[in-house]
Amino acid sequence: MKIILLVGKFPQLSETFIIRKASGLAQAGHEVLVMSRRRGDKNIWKSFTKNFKVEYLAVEAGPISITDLSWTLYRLLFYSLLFPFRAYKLFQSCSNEGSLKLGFKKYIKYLPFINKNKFDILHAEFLGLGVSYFFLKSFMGINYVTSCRGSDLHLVKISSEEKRENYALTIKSCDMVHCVSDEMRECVHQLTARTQNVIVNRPAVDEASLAYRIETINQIPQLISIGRLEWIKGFDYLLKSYAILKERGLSFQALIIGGGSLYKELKFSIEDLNIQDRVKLTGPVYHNEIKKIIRQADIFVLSSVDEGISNAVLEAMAQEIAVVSTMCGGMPEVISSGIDGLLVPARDPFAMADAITYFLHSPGMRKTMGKNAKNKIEQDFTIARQIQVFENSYKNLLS
Amino acid sequence: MKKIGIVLQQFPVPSETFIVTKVLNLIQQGFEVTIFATTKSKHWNNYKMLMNRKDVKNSIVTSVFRFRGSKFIFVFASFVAVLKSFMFYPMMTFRLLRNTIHYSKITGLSTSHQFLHQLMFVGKHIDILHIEFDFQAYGLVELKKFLKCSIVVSGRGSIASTSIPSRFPNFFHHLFSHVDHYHFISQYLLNASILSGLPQTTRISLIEPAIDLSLFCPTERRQNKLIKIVTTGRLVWAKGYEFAIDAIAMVHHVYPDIQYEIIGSGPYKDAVLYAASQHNLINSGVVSLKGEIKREEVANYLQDVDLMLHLALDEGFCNAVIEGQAMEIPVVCSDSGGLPENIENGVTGIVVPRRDARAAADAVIKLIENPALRIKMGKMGRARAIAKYNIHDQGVKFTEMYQSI
Repeated sequence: MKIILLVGKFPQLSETFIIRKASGLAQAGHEVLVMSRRRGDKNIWKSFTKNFKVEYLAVEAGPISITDLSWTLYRLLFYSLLFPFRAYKLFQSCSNEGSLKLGFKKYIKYLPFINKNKFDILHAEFLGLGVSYFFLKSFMGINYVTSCRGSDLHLVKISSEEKRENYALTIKSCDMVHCVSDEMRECVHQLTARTQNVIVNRPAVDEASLAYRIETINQIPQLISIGRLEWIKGFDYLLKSYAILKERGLSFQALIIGGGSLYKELKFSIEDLNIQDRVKLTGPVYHNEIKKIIRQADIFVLSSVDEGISNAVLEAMAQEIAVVSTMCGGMPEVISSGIDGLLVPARDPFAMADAITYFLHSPGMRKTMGKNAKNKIEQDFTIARQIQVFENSYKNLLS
Repeated sequence: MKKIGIVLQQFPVPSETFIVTKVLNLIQQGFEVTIFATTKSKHWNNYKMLMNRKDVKNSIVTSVFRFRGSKFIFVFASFVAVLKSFMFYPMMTFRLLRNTIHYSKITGLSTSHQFLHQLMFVGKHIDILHIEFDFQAYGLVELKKFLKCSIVVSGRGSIASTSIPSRFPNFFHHLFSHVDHYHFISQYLLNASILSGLPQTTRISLIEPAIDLSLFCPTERRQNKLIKIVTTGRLVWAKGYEFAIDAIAMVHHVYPDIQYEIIGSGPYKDAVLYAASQHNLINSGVVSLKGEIKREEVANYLQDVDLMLHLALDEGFCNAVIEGQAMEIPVVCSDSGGLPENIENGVTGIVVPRRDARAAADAVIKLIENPALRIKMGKMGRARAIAKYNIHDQGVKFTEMYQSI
């Protein structure tokens, strides 16, 4: 099979699962091309083998680098000459855009796809991209797949009528919808009543990170949370929980890993709640180091108010770490509360504080649940299985 | 009379009506006022009190940064401005250039940026330069020697919402060593500045902002079937809306006949909407976001409000709750920053711990259950607003402050 994966930024720290999927599919003998709107951080490559191609799209708006500009010029010159019929077809549909500027923008946007006709499948890895590039389904006549990963679809509920209709149209008319959880599939069903060709393929954990566990002994229990510092991750509630724990006189050390727009606000809150001796913000950290930090933790806390399925939680469970998570999105499909972790209602700092207190008081329970968690990951959340599911469903789509 | 220069980013801005009232009052008192704004305002037509005030419009000077929208025009406009300045005021422009170069070494700000920004002060004669927001003061207090004027800075809690102090370690020392007179709008902000190292020798005045009591005046209280709870304020993290929504969800559990409306717009809209939809309060119509409402219409809107909720996480001073009190609305607010000073706990409203939805919900329930208490608190609120936040007293205090310098 020849597969295009369409992403927003590549490679990116928070989206290493794309790299793993691409190289997994390539290993299985398929031709994979990652097409990305923007260039990410090259350093992330270092820990992965690259057995697939990457191509960067010209971004229609905003600043552009010299490299991207020359690529765009190259495409404008040669693609238009080499593929005159398709270029003319694209030109025609662009001339309906209204203004010359809009038409030209559209031409630039879709030009890189003009020589990709030999590909069988185009998988837009994020719903927003799927909606934005939906034109390609009819233009290329390609099998169009789009992913629903969490907040993108959940937030459609509160967005404008126009955006909701736009999203619904894409989800309804693409060839296959990939959801990261059963809950997500339910959302798709609610929005569009679609049930045909909706597959659920949950995220997965690298076999490599399952391979070993360093037994660390912390005098003071280490708590960790990972996520972009945005409202959706619920860190305001988490900090309140930590303040409650401190008030209860429990000793612990907590880390919040990630960068984002609320850094200053959370820093202020930590000082305001007088928990600066217990809680630290690290700012953004590389994937490899995140793994190291997770290994040294005793409890992983997910405070999100919305989530598809959190990759960080899977990673922590693979390391036998006890997890406290909010009941949001697909998290109840990963954690059976009381068996391999604890679930608490979202937006409830007291419930979260109680759950953490339970774990702080009983290291034995942390160990048992951690073991169970690892077993579950080994059974249901491996990369091999995830890639198998993608491969099979792509095959089904083509047959 | 003294010549006063007022420095701000834009004039007028809807959330800063108090400055408009202040300027009009100063002009009435006979001061010569010049307004130095970084960019132009689009809100001129929203102000009834500024209609037919050509004198105010003419006293506004804007910097070249008003052209920042387009790079090409900005470069061209800057070039013209520099040329013009050198032609008409060669000596003064030269002195400004020297002044900027000297100080940019100390402050660490970009020389060209500072020079272009300060160009609007060339050729102006001012006795008192009042910088209305202290986050703007870094990079402007250096004009003290150049303009041979006294520097007044207002502490309105705006520093806390910027990253400036963390970027410039020298910030507070530099600021405090140049300021002649520091004006604070609340005791909380005054204390915070003393903690940051405000020297004992700097003269201080505490003048709370005034509100237009004739505009914010309860006329006929319309009766609602539902209890109407309101928050007015920009949709930003600092206002603590998520906790407010959680509290409303708890109240709604006990008293389904409530209605919660939020007046304002901002980047945190998604977070607020999502919180409400997660509690199932959007589709049932309990929570609604009304967007921005014109200043003049806010008072009219508040006429039939039963309760004001304000659970900010970070607030230096809150005009909204003062306006609420003036409208005879009891207030439930958090204990952040200046809020406990803004209302009188137990008399005009109830103060609850911040980040505590349960406590806020309990306070709201207490007021819902007790209509007589609501009316009593409302009346006390109006009396308090008249006594403490009237425009006349504020004008007198500002006049005294400027004359004492």
